[in-house]
Amino acid sequence: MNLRLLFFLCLFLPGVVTGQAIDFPHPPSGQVFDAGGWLGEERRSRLEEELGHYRTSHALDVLVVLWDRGLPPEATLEDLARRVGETWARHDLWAVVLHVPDSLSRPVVVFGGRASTDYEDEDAGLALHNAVSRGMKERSTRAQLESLGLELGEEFVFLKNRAAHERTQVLAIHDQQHLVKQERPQPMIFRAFITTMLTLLAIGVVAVIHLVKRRPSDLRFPETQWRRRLGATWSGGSRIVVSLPPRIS
Amino acid sequence: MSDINTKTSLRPYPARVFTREGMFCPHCRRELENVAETCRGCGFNLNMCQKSFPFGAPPLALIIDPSQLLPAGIEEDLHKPYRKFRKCTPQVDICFCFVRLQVESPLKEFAFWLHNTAPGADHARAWQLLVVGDLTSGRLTLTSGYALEPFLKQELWEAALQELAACFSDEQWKEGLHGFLTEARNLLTTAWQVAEGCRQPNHRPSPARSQDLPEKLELERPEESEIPGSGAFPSDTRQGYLPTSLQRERGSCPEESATP
Repeated sequence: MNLRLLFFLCLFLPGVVTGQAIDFPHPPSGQVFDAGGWLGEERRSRLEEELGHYRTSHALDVLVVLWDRGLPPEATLEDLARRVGETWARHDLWAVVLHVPDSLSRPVVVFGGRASTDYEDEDAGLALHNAVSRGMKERSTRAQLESLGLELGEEFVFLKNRAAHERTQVLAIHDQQHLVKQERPQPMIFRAFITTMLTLLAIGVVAVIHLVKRRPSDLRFPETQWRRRLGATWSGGSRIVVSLPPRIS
Repeated sequence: MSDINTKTSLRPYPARVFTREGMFCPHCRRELENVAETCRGCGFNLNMCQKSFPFGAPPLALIIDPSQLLPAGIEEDLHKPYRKFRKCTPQVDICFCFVRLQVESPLKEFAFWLHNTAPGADHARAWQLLVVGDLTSGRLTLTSGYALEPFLKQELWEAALQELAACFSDEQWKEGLHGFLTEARNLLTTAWQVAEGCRQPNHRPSPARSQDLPEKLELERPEESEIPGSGAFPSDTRQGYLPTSLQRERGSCPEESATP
């Protein structure tokens, strides 16, 4: 019994220890968490405005977090960023850019949320890769963080819109097929019957035209009592005479 | 002498069933009475006509062109329309003859003579159409045998002949002959349809009506014409000239000068 209890406690201990090691502050009211003012007011304002627009217009929560509260042992920045997103995000699709100010570590970017499963892993991964590629081109770390936040927002908004467009197209096709099915309630056999009758009718019309246009042959005139005259055995001559018209040169 | 043909179907129709047109003398154009052996107006008959053309008539063929008016190979070009024509009405045959008559030789009399005296005549000659063109006078005439005569409408065939004449005037020989054969086929088809419509059960002569006519009569053979000389078939103005082709066809032909 004691061994079993100890065993179960060992299974859950790492999670409990980890969770208790991170002292999560209150979530920011906006999109940027920078308690120490490391980003600078101007950059922070721009980020708040842009990232706030993504949240309100596209239900996309992009958080830029400057973490200066230390990191528990055996915990990575990605784990932390993921916990931040899971804890602070207000929408079903979120992305977190996390950096420890003045550290040698590069900023980390993660995304998640219930809506993230709507997209193909390949598409989401590509969006993330593109955002990171463009964002990290900035020279300074502060500029990189700002750019990462903005690029993430752009990429995921594009992903959302494209997915919505594809869903709309699929729905339109389904609706059209549904309408087609509704407009033609007749079974297939009826349609085949109509097609066959039309084909036979066309063949019949062609045959009739052919028979009408076809010249008769082997016509036999009835025998008559000849009006023989002038001692001629076979022909009595004719009154039909015409002159060649004058040739116009 | 009767004018009844007996080598035909059991029920020959009177010609008046199909036509009411009159018969006219080729010489003076006076209307003839039925079964007139000689024209009352001018005394014309076939015997008298033969004196005007004291030479042997050539056998009838699709094209008789001793003066070589038509281009070579014209018969080959007409083979297809001619075949269609014969297929349409197998009873009827047609012949085109182009000659250069002397100035005093009437075209209608020549056609009358040729139609009746050309060798190789049998019952089919009565179903023959003969188109004769005279290069001297620049005219065309159409004659038909007795059997076909009741079914021909003069104005229609005259129009067809005028079309042929127009083509000849433009030297469109092939087109003219081709067109005439086609038009003849159409006219005969129409004539047959009209004839079928005219053939009513009550028009057929019953045996009681024809009691004044003998049931069987042998068809009179055409008299052997005593041709005084072999003068030229009018392909050349020279007297006594007979083309080689006609000499071969006729076989032995006495080479004598024509008697005037």
